Amino acid sequence: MVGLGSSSHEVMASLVDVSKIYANGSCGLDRVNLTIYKGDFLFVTGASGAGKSTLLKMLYGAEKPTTGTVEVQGTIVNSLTGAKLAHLRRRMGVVFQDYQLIPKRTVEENIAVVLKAQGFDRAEVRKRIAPTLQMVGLASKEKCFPEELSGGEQQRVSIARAIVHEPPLLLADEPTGNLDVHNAWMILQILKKLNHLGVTVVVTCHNEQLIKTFAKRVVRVEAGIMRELTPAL
Amino acid sequence: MIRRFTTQSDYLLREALIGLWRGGWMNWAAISTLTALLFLLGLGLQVSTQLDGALAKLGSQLEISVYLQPKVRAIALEPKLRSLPDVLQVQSIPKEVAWEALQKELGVQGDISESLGGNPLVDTLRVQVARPTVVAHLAQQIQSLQGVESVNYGSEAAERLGSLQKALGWAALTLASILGISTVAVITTTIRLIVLSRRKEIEVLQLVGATPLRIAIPFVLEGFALGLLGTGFAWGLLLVTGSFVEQKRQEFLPFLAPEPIHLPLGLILLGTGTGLGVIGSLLAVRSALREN
Ligand SMILES: Nc1ncnc2c1ncn2[C@@H]1O[C@H](COP(=O)(O)OP(=O)(O)O)[C@@H](O)[C@H]1O
Ligand SMILES: [Mg+2]
Repeated sequence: MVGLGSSSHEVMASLVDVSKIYANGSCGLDRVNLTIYKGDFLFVTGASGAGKSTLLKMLYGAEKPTTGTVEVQGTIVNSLTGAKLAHLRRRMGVVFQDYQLIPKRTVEENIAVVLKAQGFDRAEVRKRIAPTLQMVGLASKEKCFPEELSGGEQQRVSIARAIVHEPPLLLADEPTGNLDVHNAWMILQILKKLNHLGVTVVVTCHNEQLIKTFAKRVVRVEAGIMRELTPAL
Repeated sequence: MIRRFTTQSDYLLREALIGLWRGGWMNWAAISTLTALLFLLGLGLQVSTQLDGALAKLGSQLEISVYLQPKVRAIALEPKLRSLPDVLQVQSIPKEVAWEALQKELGVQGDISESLGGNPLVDTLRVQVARPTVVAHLAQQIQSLQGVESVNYGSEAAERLGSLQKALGWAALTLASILGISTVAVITTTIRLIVLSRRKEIEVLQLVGATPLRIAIPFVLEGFALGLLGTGFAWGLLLVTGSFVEQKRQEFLPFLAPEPIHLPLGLILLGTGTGLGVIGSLLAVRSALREN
């Protein structure tokens, strides 16, 4: 994870002619081509239902493309299942639109889950949690349960969980979606900091105003069809 | 590598314990069905060993009892029997001797022959045979002799007991299979409920890169633990039943040799119990892991 916070020409992930038709017939993505470079800070924008989440799900293997090829860090994701998919997911961090925190576990435990699942020992787990919480500004909340936190705080817990194992790729699905401007700003600041540390970041966000301040590279999805916006913004 | 293994087993064991704790009363449903199954299985196997023991004793008996017709005396037939091939020894038991012994055994005071209109017994002979294979043939030969009312030999009873044992064996096997299937069903349901209550956690674990094996192991350990507990309880019940039966045996059937409850039986039960526990939990998590 040596990085300068700037895009290189090394490829982190790519979608080639990717279409996704869901079982009920609705179209998630329509012949999407996208290359994500190492060090990118990529925004994916578009209206609700345009296909932003579908795009990220392709990258972390939660949905399989109907046609086309998805490749992440040199691995074809298309038909990956079981242990192989698990091993690929260890090399990325995902912030989910609906947080996906475990209800009856404290903040600390929710974050430790990742490290334990990946085989870090107790000492290492303990060593990593405090600085990660510090980074997202939740140092004093480690013993809280998710329901005791505000939406913005829960969102930051899910970011902490996504980065605690120091993945080279971070996927964040509407991390600012349910938050007020102040909290949204704070989240984007955190993501920017991570990008500066060398993490490749892909963020979906339907608020283009918010993006303008941070934008380095923006693509827009409309009804499954993707367009590169970067020069225009 | 070793370090990794120990930290992982630490997490996995802890998770299994937490799971059992959260399972609450459902665990007892699984444990009690398992206990019932293993208890019956153990009982069946124990009775079967008992029968085996009895059979072995009967089957290896090399003695033919010969009952004579009334008024025919044993002494008269003894030389004839002795002359038969494969006969080692012949012992005559005159009815007077047998009658006296019987009265003593029954604790009768004085002589009751009068009230019965005389000694009701007949003379008998005990024939010791050299080889078990000739017992049946020899018995037939003796049966056809003049003055012989009937003959009796162990392997005849052994044959009857043998077919009884076969029938019992089939019945026990059928019962055990039915119970086995329902036990697996109950364990699967139990673990499935635990899995359902932790569905969110499993989903998250899958999303953050836990392998299916890593997710399944704590549940399998839970199934194993249920198996262990079921076996423990069944074993306890068997020991209690065993000592109760032994007590009654000493009271009523002191001549029967006891067959102690053996360790191999315990191992069979342990294998069955933990095996069913593991199968049940595998079935439960397999479907949970497939959902994603
Ligand atoms: N699991 C699903 N099953 C069926 N249709 C789906 C599913 N997920 C998404 N869709 C459909 O795919 C389209 C894109 O959805 P999504 O990627 O979630 O959009 P966004 O994240 O941009 O709001 C929508 O029309 C949505 O209804
Ligand atoms: Mg979405």
